[in-house]
Amino acid sequence: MSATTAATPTATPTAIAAPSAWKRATRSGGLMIGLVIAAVMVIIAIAAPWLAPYDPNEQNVLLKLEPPSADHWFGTDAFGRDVLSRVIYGARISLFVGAFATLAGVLVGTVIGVVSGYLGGMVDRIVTAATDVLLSFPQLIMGLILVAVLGANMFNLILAIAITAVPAFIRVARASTLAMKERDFVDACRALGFGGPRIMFLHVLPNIMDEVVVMGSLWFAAAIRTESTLAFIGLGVPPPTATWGGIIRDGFDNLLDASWLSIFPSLAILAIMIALNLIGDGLRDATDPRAPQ
Amino acid sequence: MTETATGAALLEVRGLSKTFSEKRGWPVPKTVAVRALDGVSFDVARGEALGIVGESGCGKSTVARACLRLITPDAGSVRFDGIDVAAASASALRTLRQRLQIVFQDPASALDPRQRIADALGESIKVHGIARGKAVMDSVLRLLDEVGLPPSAARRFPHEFSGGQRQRIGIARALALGPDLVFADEPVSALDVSVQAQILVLLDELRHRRRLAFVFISHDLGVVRHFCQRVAVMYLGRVVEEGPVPAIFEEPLHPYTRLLKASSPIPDPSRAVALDLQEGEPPSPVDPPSGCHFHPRCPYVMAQCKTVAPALQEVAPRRRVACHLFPAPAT
Amino acid sequence: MNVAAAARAGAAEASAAAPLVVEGLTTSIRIDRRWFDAVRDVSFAVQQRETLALVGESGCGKSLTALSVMGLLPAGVGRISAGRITVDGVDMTAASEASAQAMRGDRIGMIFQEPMTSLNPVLTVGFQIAESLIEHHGMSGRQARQRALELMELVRIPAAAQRIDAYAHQFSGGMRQRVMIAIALACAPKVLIADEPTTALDVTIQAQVLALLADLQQREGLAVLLITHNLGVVASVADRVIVMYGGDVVESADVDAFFARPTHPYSEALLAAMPRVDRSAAALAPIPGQVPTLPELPAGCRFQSRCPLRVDRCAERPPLMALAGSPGHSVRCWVRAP
Repeated sequence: MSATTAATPTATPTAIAAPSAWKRATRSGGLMIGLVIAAVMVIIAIAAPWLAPYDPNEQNVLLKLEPPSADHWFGTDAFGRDVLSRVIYGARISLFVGAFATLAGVLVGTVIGVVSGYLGGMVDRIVTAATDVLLSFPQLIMGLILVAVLGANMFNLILAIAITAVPAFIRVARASTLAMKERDFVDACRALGFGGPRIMFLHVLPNIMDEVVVMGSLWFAAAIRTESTLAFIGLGVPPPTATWGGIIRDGFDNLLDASWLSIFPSLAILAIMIALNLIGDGLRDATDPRAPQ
Repeated sequence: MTETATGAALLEVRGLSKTFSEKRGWPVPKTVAVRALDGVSFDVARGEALGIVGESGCGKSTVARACLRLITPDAGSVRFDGIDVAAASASALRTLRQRLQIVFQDPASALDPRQRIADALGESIKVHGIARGKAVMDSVLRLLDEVGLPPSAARRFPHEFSGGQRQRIGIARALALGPDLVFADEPVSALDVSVQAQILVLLDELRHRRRLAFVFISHDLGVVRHFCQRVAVMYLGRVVEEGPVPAIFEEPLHPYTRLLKASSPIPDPSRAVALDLQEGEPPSPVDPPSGCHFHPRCPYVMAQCKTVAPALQEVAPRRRVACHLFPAPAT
Repeated sequence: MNVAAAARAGAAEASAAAPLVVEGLTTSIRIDRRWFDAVRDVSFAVQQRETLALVGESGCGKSLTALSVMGLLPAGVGRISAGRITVDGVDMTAASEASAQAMRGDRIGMIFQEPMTSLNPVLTVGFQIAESLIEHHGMSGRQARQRALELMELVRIPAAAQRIDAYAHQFSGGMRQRVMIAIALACAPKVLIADEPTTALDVTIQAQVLALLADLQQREGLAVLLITHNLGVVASVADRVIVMYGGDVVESADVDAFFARPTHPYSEALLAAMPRVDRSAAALAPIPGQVPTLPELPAGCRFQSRCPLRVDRCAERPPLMALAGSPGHSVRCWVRAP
């Protein structure tokens, strides 16, 4: 037993523990509202087959362009399809494409960013130059070009949006990695004989996940916006599949007399984007170590 | 030259030099060369604590990182137990890392905030294959006990501990691989006085019990005087004086060492810090003065001090000074 | 006798009310949703040309005391629960925020530990020194600039005329601290609060800055409240010293009397735990345990959990009592000052 006078053996080590990140997060009203809205929309999307009152592709010539009514809460479109059901099923596309595109971007971009930031030197210079070039393209134009070249289907759509996300995450991950390198524990790992991969992926990466997650939720919103915009232009998942942008596109010709075709899907896009932004901001506030405690 | 039973010092540093290129200045940054280390040499014997003192810009932190090959020196050699550290292969370096360790100044920054203490301490044991499975946890608990922390600490995260406790954890981590020499880079500077004393007592115990050698880097002369047997004083990348602690502190030879000692506050009102000291800013390592770096501030400056850098000479048994006031004794 | 006392021995005293008087100050901090007293019933006065040192380790409340005096407690998290602070005859605790703001920088100046974060990096130093002159004394830009130049020379910044338009990052740490002092003294305040002014500086630069402060104190007749954890600095420049622990004043004395006879067990332990450059390695006597966090501080004597002399009575807070035979020397301890 050590003879040093130390913390008394019975005393459990404590400091003034700041309220945990979760506590701060749940106290943040914005974050909770965002989570609730997003959760509701995800549940609706998953439960689409049970929630949608009609088959989204079922056409009914007799009921063309009906305004919202008791039978059709969101009205019908030019082919007599129930807009509510189409919006519900459209959520699946938007959320699925948005989530997978963002996830792909996060995974690839974060790994490249961490490696580039950690190794420095020539590798870092090349990656930074490439990232700067890619980031100089507006996301929408990039997506547009890629889908036009590769063809409009769900896989290519996800790929196109993911490609636009990768450079942004490289940048975030790289910046956070550079900040982490300044901290002594990275040197400590090297002094303990740990190899680069272990340090990068077991030590640096877990510590930068806060920023990456915040960026991720904000990019999720951007991905959905891009998907909707591409669908609106006609480069989204091809019809008859219901997509929010597609519904708006269909309603474009009847903008004034059948405005419900434009309003409801727009509201859906608005809702999910607000929710994701609230989540992103709330997470950022909750994980910011400099926030007052 | 300090010797171990086998006749050679445990750590031999000769002519270590390192220059950094930095971009400084606003609005147009210029690349400047910062001479962090300029021909640094010293020895450390087994079980001995060598202090390295100096103020900011003297290069003392760079010394530790260069010796451990966390940064690559531009010139000079570092020999540990006869092995050339700079030339070691990757696998030899890994083995070497078990024997040469480091404790950092800021305990909050030195620990991975996302790792539980048990993992922080056990990881290196597992990576180097020293133990496996349950034996790792046994080692972790032994280490915690050795640094005076309860076993319950193993489950916790760094932010749940105070500064002093985190420093104990940092020390435990450095001990995990059973090193022979530990670099301690300002290990107590970020701690309160009462906690500082606890850590110093702990380090002293460890030095005796494990026959650990230390390179103890600090700006605080009182701490160095207490803990170390030998001390090297650095100024702008060079060692200006080196020798046994009692001799150097009782009777410092180099004018800079004297200035350091006279400026160090003592808790005794009858021996207040000499406040009638000269004015002037300390030079920066970007553009050090020619000749002896200290000449612009030296009360004894002579003509040759401005042009010729004095070499580190042995002026008494085991005492070396780099100053024209003390030329090497004629043979 | 230390420097400050020696200098003061020759100075004539105008005995008007002390420029800084603190009576029964209690400051509370909010953690989660509860308020804790981080500073308890602290009283002291600082005379003209006197340096009072507030000494203690982290968590003792010394910086909070300084912030309370300045009225700069973080809103919503800190508040003055009791007591009165009088600066140059004005009751700061009762004053409105507007009056308090008028006092800050004008009658009472403050310098901080980290000059790099205390100075604005995008404004020239000349501008920052001149700012309070323009703000409080209504000087014109030209007049203020002239005065700023004089101040830079007063704090002995070399080549002041060339450097008045330089930026903070172009100065070394010691020089930046001098700029801070110039800013604090611009309006010729009566009181100067120095919160760990030299802790971040090299020891040789520290000596220069302390010398400068002592010199300025004599010339400008300042009352200086010096916050520090370094007892060596206290011994070199302070006239009186107050030791704080866990928000309480545990000992208060003239500097000579304090170092001759540190009476409170904490003061004694602190001195025994300090390694000294003038003494060969003796065994250090560390204080066991660590400072309890604010919610964990014991209600009676704050030091009881670590005190070797603890008795049952310590569960009740001891009063601050003058020692027999040394009226200027007070200690808060049942055992040492019953």
